[in-house]
Amino acid sequence: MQIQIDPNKCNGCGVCADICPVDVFRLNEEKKLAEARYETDCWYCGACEGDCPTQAIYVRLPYLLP
Amino acid sequence: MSQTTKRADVAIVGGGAAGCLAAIAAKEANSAADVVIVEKASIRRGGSIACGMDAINVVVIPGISKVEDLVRAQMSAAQGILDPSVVRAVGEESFGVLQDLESWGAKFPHNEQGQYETFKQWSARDSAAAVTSISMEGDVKVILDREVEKRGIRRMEHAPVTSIHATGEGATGISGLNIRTGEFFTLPAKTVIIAAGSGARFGLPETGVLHAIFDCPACAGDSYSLAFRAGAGLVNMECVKHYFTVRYFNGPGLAPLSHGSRLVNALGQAFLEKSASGDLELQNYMDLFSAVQREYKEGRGPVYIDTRPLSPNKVAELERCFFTTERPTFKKFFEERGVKIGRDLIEGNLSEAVLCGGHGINGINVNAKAETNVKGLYATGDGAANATSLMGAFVLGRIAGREAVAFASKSANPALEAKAIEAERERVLAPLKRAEGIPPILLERKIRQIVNLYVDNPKSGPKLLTAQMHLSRLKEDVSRMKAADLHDAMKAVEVQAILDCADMVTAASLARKESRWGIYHYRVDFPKRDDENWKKFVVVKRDRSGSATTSVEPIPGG
Repeated sequence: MQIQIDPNKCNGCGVCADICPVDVFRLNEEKKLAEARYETDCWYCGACEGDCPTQAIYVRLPYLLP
Repeated sequence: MSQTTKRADVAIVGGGAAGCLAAIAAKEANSAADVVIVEKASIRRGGSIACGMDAINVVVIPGISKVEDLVRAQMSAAQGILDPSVVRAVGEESFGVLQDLESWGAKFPHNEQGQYETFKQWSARDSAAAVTSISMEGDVKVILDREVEKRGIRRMEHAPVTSIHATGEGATGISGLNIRTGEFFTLPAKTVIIAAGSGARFGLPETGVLHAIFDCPACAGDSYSLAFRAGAGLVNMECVKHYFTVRYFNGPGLAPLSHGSRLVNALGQAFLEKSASGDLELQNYMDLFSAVQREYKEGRGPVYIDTRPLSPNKVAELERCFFTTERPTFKKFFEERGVKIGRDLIEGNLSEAVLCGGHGINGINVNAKAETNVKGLYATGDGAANATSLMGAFVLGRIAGREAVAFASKSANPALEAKAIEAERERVLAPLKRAEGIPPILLERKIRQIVNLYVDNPKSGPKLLTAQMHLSRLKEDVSRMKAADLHDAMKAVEVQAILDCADMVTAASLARKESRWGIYHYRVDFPKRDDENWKKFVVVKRDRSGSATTSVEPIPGG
């Protein structure tokens, strides 16, 4: 996964889903956890990493060449 | 679902730097006015400066620089094809905006003498202080979000605007899609301000990764397409921008030069010293690109950013700039590749093709009041032709907000056409209703491939005509798109914006029968610059069939 969300840290607050400039995240209502549903759209700006109140998110770069 | 929301005096499309300044200015001019920001993502992080910005590149500081120097510099960089009154307006209010930002909590460091810490961009190193850059600290979007909230400005978030409604009388409102609820909404408005950013998703990057691009992918060309479809004119669409970046990464390759790095070719020779001649960003970009292409052509490519001459202090300075405000994931990119600033060479290259009226000169044709040719419709930010970067977004935003709210106080309630709303609703929701069809990202990839292969440099008549042929076929495929969900439905609209942009750039590139701005508009079949006949605007508008049509017009004040 390009965007890693630590399920032990995520508290389901939804901040990432609210602030991502390119709409990568949704809240999984059942599990009460964030998920990077559209992670191939990630611009790796790092906003989610910085704004997550529990530091649950780690953004890896996409598979760039070379 | 469909809903018409409460009427607004000023509806602002986009909650980035430009949109926030517009909203604040409108509300400050008239606290009773109903001002609303309609943003695709969130105001807190939406737009190109999601996580901040390390500097403001254009600011006229009393005692350090002059407005007329700025005008001269930007006009010369644009080779005369720009409205000087717009640049002047930005220069005149730039210091006021800086003071506003400071009073809201943005930090502009001072030196030991108590003066603002300014620096010259790498391209300005030989010149008088025509363009002053100023360091900026602080999380600017978070600051703006707070200021917007404080003033009771209405906000609609996760709500991409899909259309601006306009009649012969002028702008009447906007429509859009709430991508969380699925609601198609219409907002009647006395005035509309377009602040929806650049055309970042234009050319295809070398990595082939659709969003691995220099500017924020949420800025898909919405500004350009919304204006075009509302009947506004756009200028300089043939001047297609490229950046110089760290190759395979969407981070700037020029910032290291401002900090003292140099560019070297594959033989380790510095190759730029002699070609970087003037005092102008755009001019020097052209020198740089020509030099890079020359190194490749003569067998000395690739080219590298050589950070080895940097002192430990400069390394730390550059790392702070790169890894914090400028692009935090830069650190990961270098770590993955074992690259260390100060020790290694970093390969650089041209970015994908980009449309931008702030860092380039193409965009919605506005005057010094941020007005378009459509009554009640204003534009600011990277979608408006201004050539003054982030400061242009701030100042023109402020001007647009002020002008719009004054115009709104004198205008009657807007009369929206039910038929137009219904047609827009159908266009936006149709991809969701189809049982099967083309996924929007496949169509996007095709359009951007056509841009790389036929629209971007080197240009020629036959190539551009071939582009038109391909683009008209892709237009037919728009009605075959299938959106899997609301996120995809937003993309289906964005894809149509990208297609509009490609159409506009192709038409404008065909119209300008000369070469100008280095690689930004190089026509193989008209290789020379022709000031006698072409010191003019190519204005693009939409014809009745929905295609781009051009006219050649004099430059205001030119």
